[in-house]
Amino acid sequence: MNRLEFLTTLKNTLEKGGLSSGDINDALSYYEEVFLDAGVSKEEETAASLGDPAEIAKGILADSGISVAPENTSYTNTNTVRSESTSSGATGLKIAIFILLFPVWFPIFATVSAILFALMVAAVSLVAAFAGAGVALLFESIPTLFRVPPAGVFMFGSGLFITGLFLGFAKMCFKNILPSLGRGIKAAARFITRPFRKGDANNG
Amino acid sequence: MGFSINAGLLDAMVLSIVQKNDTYGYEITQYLRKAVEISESTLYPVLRRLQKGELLETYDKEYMGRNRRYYRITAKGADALEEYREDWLSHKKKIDSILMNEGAECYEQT
Repeated sequence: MNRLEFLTTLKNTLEKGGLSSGDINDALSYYEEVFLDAGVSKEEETAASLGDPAEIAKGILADSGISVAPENTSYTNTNTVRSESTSSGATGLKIAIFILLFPVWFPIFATVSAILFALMVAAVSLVAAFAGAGVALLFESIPTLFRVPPAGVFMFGSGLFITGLFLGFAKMCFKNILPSLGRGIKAAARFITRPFRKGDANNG
Repeated sequence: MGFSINAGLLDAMVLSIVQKNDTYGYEITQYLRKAVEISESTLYPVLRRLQKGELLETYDKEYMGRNRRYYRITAKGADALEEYREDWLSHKKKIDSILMNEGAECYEQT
């Protein structure tokens, strides 16, 4: 096996495994460099000492978290077409499963989203209620202050207290609670589409 | 040589080679071959792992009309290497205490 044969098999196997083009180029330039550094006249020797390029490719794929299906163990240049059709078939199957399981995942997703959305609304309403009550008490306390001074002072104090609560809670609500609930909905969507998108990435 | 080299030891040796001089894949393998039977194929995942862990970084340098990828140790890599060396010393002592019948009195010498 010469340099070109070695690199071609390596490239084909990595591409079939769905490795990203950046990672494929990294591996190819590494092995190309090895051949050149070992000497142009020693190509056959170098290839022999490196080992089977298909096995090397499988090792690289495994390091990237891609497992090679057992029926594809003997990668050669001739079975390119067959292997590609099986992998696109697998994606088709995944899409079909995704659609068929719609009655299962959709209600779960809808429920989780609805609960999180309800919590968001509740948080916003709570903030609004505090704001309304606080401001109303403050305004109402001014005329009361003249009519029944002790009651007016009490109302003014309560108004300040509730407005303070509102400010503290609003900050927490908009900084922490709303974003985290939003993330929850996004995470639920991601969880459901995960198997589907993984298949997509493997073929891209 | 009949003893197998594990991944940690290989990482440590590669870090040590690169720390001495910035160097490239083929040369690293040649150095390693002084101690262990290893091919460039075994080295590749090691280099990738060290790069991903930010223990090594790379840069390309022109050599005879082509690019050669050089590896350079990072500060994090140098720290890791120090740790590996300490681990190795204590590991070696423990092995020697059994294999070479070296008692506790020999510990002071090293």
